[in-house]
Amino acid sequence: MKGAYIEIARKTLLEGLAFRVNTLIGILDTVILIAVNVAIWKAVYASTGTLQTVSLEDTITNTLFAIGISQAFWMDEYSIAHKIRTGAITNDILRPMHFGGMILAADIGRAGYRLLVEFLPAFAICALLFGLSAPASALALPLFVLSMAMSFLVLHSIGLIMSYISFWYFNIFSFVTIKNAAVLVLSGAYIPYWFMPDWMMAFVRASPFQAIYSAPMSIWLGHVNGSSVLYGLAKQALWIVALQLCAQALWVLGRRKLAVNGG
Amino acid sequence: MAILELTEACKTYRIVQRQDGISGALKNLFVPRYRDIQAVKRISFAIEAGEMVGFIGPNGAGKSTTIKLLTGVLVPTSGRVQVLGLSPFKDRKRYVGRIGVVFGQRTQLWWDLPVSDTFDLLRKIYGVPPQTYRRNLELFDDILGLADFRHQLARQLSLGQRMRADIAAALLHDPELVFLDEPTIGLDIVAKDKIRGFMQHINAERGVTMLLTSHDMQDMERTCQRVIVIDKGALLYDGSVSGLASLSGSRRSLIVDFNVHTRCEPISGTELIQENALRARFSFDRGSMQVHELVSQVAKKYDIADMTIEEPSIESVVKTIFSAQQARL
Amino acid sequence: MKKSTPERTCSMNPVALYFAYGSLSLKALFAFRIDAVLRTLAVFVREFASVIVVYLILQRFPDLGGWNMNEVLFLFSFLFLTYAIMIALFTGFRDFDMIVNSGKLDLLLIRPRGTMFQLMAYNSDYLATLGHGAVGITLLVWSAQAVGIVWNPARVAFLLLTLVSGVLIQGAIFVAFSCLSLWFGKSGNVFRALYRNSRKIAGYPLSIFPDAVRSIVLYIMPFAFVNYFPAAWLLGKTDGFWPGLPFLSWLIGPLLFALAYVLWRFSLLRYSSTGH
Repeated sequence: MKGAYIEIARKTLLEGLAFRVNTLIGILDTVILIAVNVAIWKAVYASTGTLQTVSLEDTITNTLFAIGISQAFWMDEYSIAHKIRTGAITNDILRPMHFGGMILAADIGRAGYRLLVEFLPAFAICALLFGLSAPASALALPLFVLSMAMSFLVLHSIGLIMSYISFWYFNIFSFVTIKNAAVLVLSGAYIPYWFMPDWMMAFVRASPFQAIYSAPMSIWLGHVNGSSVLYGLAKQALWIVALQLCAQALWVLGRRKLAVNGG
Repeated sequence: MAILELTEACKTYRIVQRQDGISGALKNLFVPRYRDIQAVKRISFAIEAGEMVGFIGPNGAGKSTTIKLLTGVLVPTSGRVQVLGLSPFKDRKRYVGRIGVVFGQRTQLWWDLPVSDTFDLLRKIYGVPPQTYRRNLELFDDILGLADFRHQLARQLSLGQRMRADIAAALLHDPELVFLDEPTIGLDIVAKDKIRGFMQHINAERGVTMLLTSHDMQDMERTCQRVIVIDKGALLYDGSVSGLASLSGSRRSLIVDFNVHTRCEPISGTELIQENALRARFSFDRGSMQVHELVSQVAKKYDIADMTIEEPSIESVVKTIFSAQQARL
Repeated sequence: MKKSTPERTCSMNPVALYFAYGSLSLKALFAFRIDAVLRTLAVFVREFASVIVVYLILQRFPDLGGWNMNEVLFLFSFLFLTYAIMIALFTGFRDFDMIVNSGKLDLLLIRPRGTMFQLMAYNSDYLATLGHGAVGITLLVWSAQAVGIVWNPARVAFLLLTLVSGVLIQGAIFVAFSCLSLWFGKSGNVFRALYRNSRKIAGYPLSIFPDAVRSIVLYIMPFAFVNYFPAAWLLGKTDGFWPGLPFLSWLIGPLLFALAYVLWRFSLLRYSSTGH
């Protein structure tokens, strides 16, 4: 049973590998995106010197990781929505597998491919060009990886909720686009949490957006220590559970609607 | 006088060959490798004003390519195309204003809008005078039954309705010459009959010259006086429909479906070519055996669920013509 | 019934025909009214998000390479305004791959009108126009007032000419993409990625970037002429660049478009002689 999910993840990964030109574009895209944002930070820091509480190096590190990885953590809401809309989803429901599990496996395969083949080379190039802060401690590195994995699960769960909207509304473009815009502004990739205004930070702290890139980056940079690291990780886990429950509820209601109205 | 002349027309496609690997992908980008495919090989024919000509051949025979050469979408690699005294490609804008084209596999209707909106736009594109437009709409309402769905969204139409609307759209501007590429593809018999009737009407009443492709032999037998057969890009036959019928042979098959498990006995003048418990297939010669006699004979003997006469497919017709030519050589 | 005569008495002029197409485009988009409104809103929010990012960064810092927040937003506004107009005109070239693959290009070729005209007229994405246009106008009005630009006739004329040229530059790029995909198949992806990135770069003052990044928007996708040089002139900055560059934009737009048009004719000929 477990084998089937691994097979889905493997297949999505291989599909990505099949389009090698797109891979080169992906690397180039990420490098340029990071280079542009690093140039912006260098320019604004130049105007204030060292007055800022967080160093330029840390801000660049945030850019390298969070923007780089955000290019890899891209969920494919539309293909699931397409399946729901056309009724092709009945084929998937008939398989002896959990539907959410299948989507998760596919999302992991895609993100895994992009991390390995697009993010890592782009990251290596950018680290050489722009430099990087070391992790705050030896323990910070594994905790950062764990926290980043949870960031992925948060984004995956939000994506799942977006896809399930198509049980009720035939075109989810608006929902997904607005969600992506919110992630862009609030997730901590383009505006690190230490530059967010207080009112915005208050909102982010109470929302799943903090559980995206702000949580892992605060661990790498050593902005949180000791028990607050655990607190941050627990908060991420809690958001995953809450979002998953929400997705599951939508799924159950959606399937019922499908059963009543036909595909 | 011939209004359409195709002289020794050839069309060779160049296809980019995919090269594998990252270096291959880069090579594709900057130094692509090509392979040539000859879609049309030295085809010549001429069509007189007012004719209705069928153009048939199996899938991939080069029918659509020929239509594209005749409509100015493609230029021939060599040879000459002259229609209505113009070169379809060089005089494209002047030329296409005088012809109508239906690509049966893709609609020209605006998908999210009522059919009437597409018609109105076409009226403006072609500059159709108001009285002509009104007269044509009335005719289409009459014969194609367009009034029933002219104000519905194109996406909501059945395939048959969509095809009727597409044909009407190609005729709004009173073209002198109409090309129809697979106008009956995928349609049921009732819809096919409606479209065939309409094409005959337009041809007979208005003297519009028509060239239609199909791989349905019935389309040809019902509507055309003359057929042109091509296969693998080359011309195989150009002549009357009855001539083609005689060339294609007179052997037909009778397929019989039984209600109960049945073992068939041989029937004189026929050959039992396939048999299983619930179905049998007899091959017979239409020249020497009357169809209704055979049918009544079978019906008397067995408990029958259904019977069908199988007409030869275009593939088998092409095969017969081809082997006949080989024998002559 | 008499055989039809080839004379055409009511041929419509191209401008009127363009608007006939346009009103059908709009009608098709708004066939699903709520959805169209939601999608316009979504495009607006998506584009505005990038503005918010700049706004928030510059709240923390006094300036970006010598440009304060309002000046950067003023620079930004040109991108949205030109894109809004450009996409209304060139949607057919944005969706060109799909138009070729679905055989729609053949349908355009059997109409007695120019192929480029039909591609420009057919099915414009007015949702993008509304979304980008709303962001652009908001930014322009607000930032121009904040930086205290005095609009005299010369400046207004300068702005209008700049916008026209900016539309032509991006239109030329879109037409060139379509030509490339006629020649090389779908490898046009590479160029699309370059376009996307250039647009990102162009959101910020050129002076902050290293030479490698600068040369992308100067020589490959000349976005610097769409917004940076003209905005700098209106703001009275030169950032050390040659002061004639803002006026060079007026030339670059029409020139690039003329080149793209020649390439287009040539590529279309290739389509007809090779098929696709």
